[in-house]
Amino acid sequence: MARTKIFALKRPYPRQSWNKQAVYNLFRYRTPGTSRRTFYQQKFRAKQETRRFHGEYLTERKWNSMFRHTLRGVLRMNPAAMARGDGSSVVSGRGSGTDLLPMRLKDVEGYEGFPTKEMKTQPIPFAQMTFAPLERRLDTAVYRALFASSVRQARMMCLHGKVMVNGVKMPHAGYMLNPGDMFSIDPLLVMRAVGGPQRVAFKQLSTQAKSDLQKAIEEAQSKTKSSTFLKASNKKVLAGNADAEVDTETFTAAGVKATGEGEGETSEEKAVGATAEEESTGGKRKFHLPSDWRTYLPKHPRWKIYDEWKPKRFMNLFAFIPRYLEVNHHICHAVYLRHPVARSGSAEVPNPFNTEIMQLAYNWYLRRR
Amino acid sequence: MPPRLRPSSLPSTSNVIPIPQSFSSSPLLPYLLPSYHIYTTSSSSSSSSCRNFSTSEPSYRRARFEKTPGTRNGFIEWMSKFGGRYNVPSPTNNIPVYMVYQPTPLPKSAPESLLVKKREKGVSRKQAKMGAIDWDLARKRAEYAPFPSNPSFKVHPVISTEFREQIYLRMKADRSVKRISAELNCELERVAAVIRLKEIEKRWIEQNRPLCTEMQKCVHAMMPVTQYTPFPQHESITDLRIHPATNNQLFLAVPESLPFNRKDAAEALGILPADIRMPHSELIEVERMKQAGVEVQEMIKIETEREQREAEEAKAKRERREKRLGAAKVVETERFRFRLKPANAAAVGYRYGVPAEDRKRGINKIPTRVV
Repeated sequence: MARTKIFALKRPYPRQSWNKQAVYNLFRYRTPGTSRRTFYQQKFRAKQETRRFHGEYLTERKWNSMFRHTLRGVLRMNPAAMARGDGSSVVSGRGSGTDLLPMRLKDVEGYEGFPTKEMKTQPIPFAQMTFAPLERRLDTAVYRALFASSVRQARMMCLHGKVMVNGVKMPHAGYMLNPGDMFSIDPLLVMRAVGGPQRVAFKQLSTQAKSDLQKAIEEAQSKTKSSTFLKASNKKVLAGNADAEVDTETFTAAGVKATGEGEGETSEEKAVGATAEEESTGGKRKFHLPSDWRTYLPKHPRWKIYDEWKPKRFMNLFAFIPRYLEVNHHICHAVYLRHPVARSGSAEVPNPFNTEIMQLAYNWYLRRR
Repeated sequence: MPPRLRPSSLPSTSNVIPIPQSFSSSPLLPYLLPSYHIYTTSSSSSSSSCRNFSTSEPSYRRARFEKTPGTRNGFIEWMSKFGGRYNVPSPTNNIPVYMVYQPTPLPKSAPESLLVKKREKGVSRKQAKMGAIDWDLARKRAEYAPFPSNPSFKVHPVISTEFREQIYLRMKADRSVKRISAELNCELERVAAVIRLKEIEKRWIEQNRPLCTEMQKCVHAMMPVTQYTPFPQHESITDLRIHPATNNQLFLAVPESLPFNRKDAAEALGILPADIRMPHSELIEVERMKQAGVEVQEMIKIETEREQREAEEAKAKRERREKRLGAAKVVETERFRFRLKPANAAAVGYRYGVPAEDRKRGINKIPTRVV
């Protein structure tokens, strides 16, 4: 059974999520100390820490079957240096090579025989690739492509059948992507998943809005149309009244307030109220609004999210796309180019753990420990 | 004279590995591309994609879970204090804002105790520590390291929308993926993927389907982006995959008097030499010609010939494959279109009447590939 309280503040762990508590936990995260611990304890701790971040919803058995001890890496080759020699100078003589200048430094401008500290190539952090097989999973790839705000949300999208792989619905979150696979999600769903809070529906009306609305409804009803028609095309209903324009902006100006900002509303107004009483300048006026008055209001148009999209809170902290993905956010499609690799000084698996911890975790998963 | 990439125009701070004059492809490429001047018209922005990667030290000195005073383990106070600072939906100048620890680890040159001891009068311990931190450096590090505790994960920039458009335009101008990749310094797979995605995007525009332009803009504003320049330096295109066979030691007796080169090593390991396995291995030949002092016009001619030859080979291969697949005899019926292929009756294939194993425990039903 997967843990349900994953963003606990009392015993915090880093998680793959943009949740505000997850961000706080990530901020507080410090690598565990290794002093006064046996090697076994260190490995076990490292495994705990890393697994809480990488696929915490997977059972250990499942992950064990995915783990591979072979780790992928690449070397950057220099065609100019390769053209200059066939590589025999590296091992000539007694095998130690006569050429003291390493091949990678041959093209460095201003190099005078002794490589400085900065020039030395950094080691390839192979240990960081321990959890690379998880990056192949469809749900993780969806999260990495910034189509979901957490891996769990991405997983939910997959399980609900919202994710397509090569144009075919793929309801398995554990599908292992192959190089060249293209996956896609409905843009509206993506924009809601990684977008900020949207405008909420109207709940309360001001006096002016109420009178406008009632006028509009009465006028519309006088045209002997069925109420179902009114509901279906509420815009037309309101358009019947010249004073009450249909635009959402006008309604806001007239005093209709969204719930998010509705603090100064009078308490006597009831959302359910079929009848509402209101003090106005002329004296007491009574509005007889139908109980389903909300259905007559113009809705926030569905397409507005395309123009008014705002990123979800803390999205910028996680806004990066690994090199093994090519994402087009215009259409919410992405291509899994190749498997993630490690190269000199950097690895392509995003995580907050340093190489020592990953090395310990990798050692844990090797069979003989 | 066409514009050349000069190392002097690249950012050269002391902590950056000097970039070789040829990043991955040959600097001669502009000469080898017959119509390179078509794309050199865009504005020459000075923004370079060569990133100033630097690493940050883990802050092992500090307590593991620092308990901040306040309610809910300090969460509410943290949100009011740092929440706004970290939530930057539209960063200025498109410089990404990632997480930074506060305080960041002290610089190694000045030990903590020394800083505290040698502080001036009226300066508290905390102030002395904070004053010693190079905040500019911390900020710079944070630009490319979203996880400050993991210096080995660095953000690589993505290519901008204009860059994608350029790739697509070149494809429309009948250039091969390989050549576009070499021209624009993008991996082969990336170029192919960009073209695929662009095709869909164009289809959506044709169908009047709305595009998420606002989201694309916002997302790119939050991360490092490689802008299109006439000769962009996006990423290394000659990355050689480390072959698993090379991870094991191999003892081989070779005569001292004979040279032992890459080809011999590959033969001993039983793999292809790096000169062939490397993507864009044709660049080696280009470099060789350049070192031999071959005329530029001659080189262009040779390269064009090579491209034509490769295109023809690919075409022949495709035709052969189609021929092989189409070899099956087709029998059309009302409901089905049978494609009869010669089969080996002796081998065991799918058996009728035998229960399928997919309900068995441990048998994975998730498809392994989607065509």
